[in-house]
Amino acid sequence: MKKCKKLTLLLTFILVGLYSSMIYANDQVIEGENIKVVAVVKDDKKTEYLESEDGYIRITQPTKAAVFESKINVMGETKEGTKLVIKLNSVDKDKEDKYIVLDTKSYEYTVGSTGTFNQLIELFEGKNQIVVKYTNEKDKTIDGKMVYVVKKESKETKESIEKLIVYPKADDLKPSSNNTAK
Amino acid sequence: MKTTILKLLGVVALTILCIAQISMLWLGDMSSRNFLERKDINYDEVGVKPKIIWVNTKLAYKISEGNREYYALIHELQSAIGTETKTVKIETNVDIDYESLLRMPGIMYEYGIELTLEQILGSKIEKYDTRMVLDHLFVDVSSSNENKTYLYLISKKGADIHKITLPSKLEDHVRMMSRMNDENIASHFTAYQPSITSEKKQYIKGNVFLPLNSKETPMEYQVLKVKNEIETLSEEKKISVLEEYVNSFFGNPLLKEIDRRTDGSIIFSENMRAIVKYNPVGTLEFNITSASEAPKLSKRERLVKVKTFINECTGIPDVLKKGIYLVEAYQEGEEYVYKFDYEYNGFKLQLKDQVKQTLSLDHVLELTIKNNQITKGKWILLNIEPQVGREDDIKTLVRGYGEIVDKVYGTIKEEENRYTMLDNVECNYIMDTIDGTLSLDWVVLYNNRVYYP
Repeated sequence: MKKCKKLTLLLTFILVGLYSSMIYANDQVIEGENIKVVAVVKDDKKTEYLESEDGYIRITQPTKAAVFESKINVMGETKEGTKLVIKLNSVDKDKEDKYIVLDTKSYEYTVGSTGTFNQLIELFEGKNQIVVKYTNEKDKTIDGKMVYVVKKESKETKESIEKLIVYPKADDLKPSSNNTAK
Repeated sequence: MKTTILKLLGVVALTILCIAQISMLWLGDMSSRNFLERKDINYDEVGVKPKIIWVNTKLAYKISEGNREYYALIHELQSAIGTETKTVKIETNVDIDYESLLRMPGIMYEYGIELTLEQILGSKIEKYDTRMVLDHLFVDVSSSNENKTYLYLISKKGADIHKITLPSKLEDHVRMMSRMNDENIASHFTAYQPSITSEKKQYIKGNVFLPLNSKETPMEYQVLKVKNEIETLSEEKKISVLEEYVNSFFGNPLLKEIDRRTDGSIIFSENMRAIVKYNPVGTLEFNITSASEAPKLSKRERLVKVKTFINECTGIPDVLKKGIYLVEAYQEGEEYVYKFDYEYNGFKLQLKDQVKQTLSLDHVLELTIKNNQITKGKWILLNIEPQVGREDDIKTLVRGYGEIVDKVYGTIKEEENRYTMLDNVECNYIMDTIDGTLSLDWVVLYNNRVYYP
């Protein structure tokens, strides 16, 4: 009986460890180029944005490496008059570990007086490479490019995470001292 | 033998209970997922209708009066609050701001005007502070379990937030949320972005829900046509149709007088007690002299009176009754005035200034209470319906909210040379004619001025 309980506890630990890595998948590092994560603290709230390394353009959403939604409103800030082309590529990695483009969609936007922009995009299943090209002739910034990858998690993954209920109480994880061998 | 049979019955009963419990665990509950199988809920059974209901996932989706779920949701909410009128407690020190609220999954009820909860329900609440008003009510679906649901009462563009804890689960609300989280279902709805969680947050006061249309994701909408069909009828038929509208105002309709004026208006009257006037531009108005009824009505009771009048008055077309929502209520001397706007498929009918002048109406329906009676009223009698049978029955709106906010903000910034915030940004049916077609376009409100960018 004691052995059985220990085995159960061990199994619980293994399961929690396995599922934990699934639950925290969206905290993985963002892949991309000309991109850095900027953390801003306001009113005791910390918010993370993605910014081009030259600081010219900032993306306020999406900023996570993985999402569950198929439609996302890409939002950000840059200078008035900047012309944006947002390319959404469905990508996968080849044998040489390089990204190949399987499908693509393109969106255009000219930034107005508020210096902010938005575009509703529909993600492909799997990995999505978001390429944001920015040009501002008045500002002499030509063909700037910011790239990052966002994974759209499958419906099955979303459902399995939603259904997963693992809340082991602290006491359940401690071996009982009252058991006696039969 | 007897013992064996009893044991067998016991086992069968336990097995059935087991199956039922597992089903409830897996499926949530045993009631139907199909809203259509529910009894049709009539608009008479609900209190004040919200202008729109929003299902807020990370994006938001609109549920308007044309959607079958609209009344089911209102009925469930108002019933749940209604059963707690003696015990409901409203918390005033709530540690949550408007932006955080709109980052939560939930269902937002948007009203056209600030009202008390009593006015919305149409019934009294024990120890209710009538100074407490709301124009939005947020149902926190994430909190809805067997034991409770949190409701947030919001006013003053989110500056005032109060909370109610209901001791029950709102099943239909939870189901609605679950449906809109299904991509296959949500794909049939236009997605909206709450402005307070958007990049435009600092340029728009409070929160408005902004449609996410663009050149690449255009929003399709039904073109409407407006016309006064009564003017196309023969004189005899016109009187006959109008009599169906006006007879209920008279004690003895057969004795009413009919006075045809040279400008095309027709006046129906009865001993100067009741006068009903038809205007050929497409409006109907009435004036009744009535003795006072005591005791004096409360705010809530006056609103119930207005609502009952609208429901029962045969002079108000049914199509108008279904789309109207309260937008103004104020006192003018001894009179209390109530004004209503109209929406089609969740888009308001925006009357342009020249149409308001032509109709002599600021809103589609206006009623006045004096001496505890509805004594005056005026509304449109125009036919407003979908245009069919033409190539351009369905149009698209491609300009997104970003372009609109930038344009108007830029204009205002040039005029005023300072940072400012817009009061409202929305898509409405623009009514610039009383005989023609109506298209959808952007309307921006700033400092009591309306912009059509």
